[in-house]
Amino acid sequence: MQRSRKKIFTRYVIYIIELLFVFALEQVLASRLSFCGLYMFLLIPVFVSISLFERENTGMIFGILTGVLIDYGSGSGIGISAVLFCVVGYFLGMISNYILRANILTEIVVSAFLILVVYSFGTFFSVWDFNSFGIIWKENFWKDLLASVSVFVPAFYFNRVISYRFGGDEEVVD
Amino acid sequence: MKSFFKSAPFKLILSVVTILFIVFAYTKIFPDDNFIERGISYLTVHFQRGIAWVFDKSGDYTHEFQEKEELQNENERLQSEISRLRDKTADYYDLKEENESLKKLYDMKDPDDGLSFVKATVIGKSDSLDSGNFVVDRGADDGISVGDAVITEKGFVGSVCKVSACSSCVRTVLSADCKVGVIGVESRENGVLSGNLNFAKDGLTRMAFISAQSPIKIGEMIVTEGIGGMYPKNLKIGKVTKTSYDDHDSFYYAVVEPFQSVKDVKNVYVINNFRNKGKIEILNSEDTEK
Repeated sequence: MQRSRKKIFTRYVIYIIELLFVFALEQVLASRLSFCGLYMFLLIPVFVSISLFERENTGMIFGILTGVLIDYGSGSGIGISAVLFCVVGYFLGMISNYILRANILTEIVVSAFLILVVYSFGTFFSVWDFNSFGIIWKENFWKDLLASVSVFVPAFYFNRVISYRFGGDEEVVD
Repeated sequence: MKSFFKSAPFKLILSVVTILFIVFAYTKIFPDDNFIERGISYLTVHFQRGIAWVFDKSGDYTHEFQEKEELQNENERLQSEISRLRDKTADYYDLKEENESLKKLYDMKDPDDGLSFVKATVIGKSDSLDSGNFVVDRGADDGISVGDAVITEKGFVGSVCKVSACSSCVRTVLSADCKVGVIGVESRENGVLSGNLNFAKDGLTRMAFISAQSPIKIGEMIVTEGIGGMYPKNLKIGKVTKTSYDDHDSFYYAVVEPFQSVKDVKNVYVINNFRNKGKIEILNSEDTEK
């Protein structure tokens, strides 16, 4: 039982460090790539891949952490994205364990959908104008989504390795 | 269906969402001084500094392999600019000498701006828009506060809009939320520097609310006005590239090309104190008549 607890703890620590590192990388890349107008969404694919390999409660906790980091990075009040990702993380964990398989296609579809939602709401609440929102969305969204796709596959396989190496989704039973 | 609303998972999600809404309200009520953002700032700023350092070092390394032709073109452009500035220098020394003797004659004291700076590094971007708002690695713990001017050696870049313990968010001159009182150095035409998304993608901004018969010229330098006590006077911003009329908002404006390209900024200086900070300058009637 001790080995199982230790493996779970190690896995969670790796996930937390991974999220913090990816958040920092996303922020720095955004400033260094601003000359070509690119913004890469790195946190969302990592969060989706973590939730796919974990259970509902773990998915919810890491969804909260991801949402808090996204809110902090955007400069708006902390909580709104955390609510969204908390619920998404819970249902992703549930769905991947009982309905869908955790595979790369699920990762790509869910990540792309979440990026679409976050991008659309984030842009609209920055400009508060449908005309400007439409121009920005049409010019920038596909470029940013394609740039973010480069992370989907590495994030999926890295978190799969972590999940399998450090115990998968075992429940600790005393 | 009813059993779902009574189930433990639903109650768990509901309680977590409620807590998160309370956290949201707390961070909105105390936007600059809350323990949540302070904690996240302490955790993430070290990662961001490390990654930014790695990127900058690798950028310096690859810069050494820059194309020869590009360097030659830049060299030629700089040579012609040096030649133009040398012509102006001759007049500058004469005017300086005259200014010094007039000061002695009228017993005038040199203005002591009392500027104090905090050097900071850009460690991230705060949104995905072209306005180029960015995050620096200095915050309230380093004496920075909301509204402080941010500059580089080339000129004014923006102002601090949000401060955490170890980091700050800077609103650049390209942002539509930027509102800075500015003036043309030669024409003395006043205006408000305010960005626009259409110009921001080309790295340009606007000096709005200029008069219809504005004497402002193409190529004229724009600087901060400094009357409101928000920013020091005469911080260089950019030069005018054209003037036009905005049909939508009904005002004349001048397009300004900033001296410092916002997208290339890596290291900045935050002016956290200066002599007339917070003081509103009262103009004499003679000044207003001019």
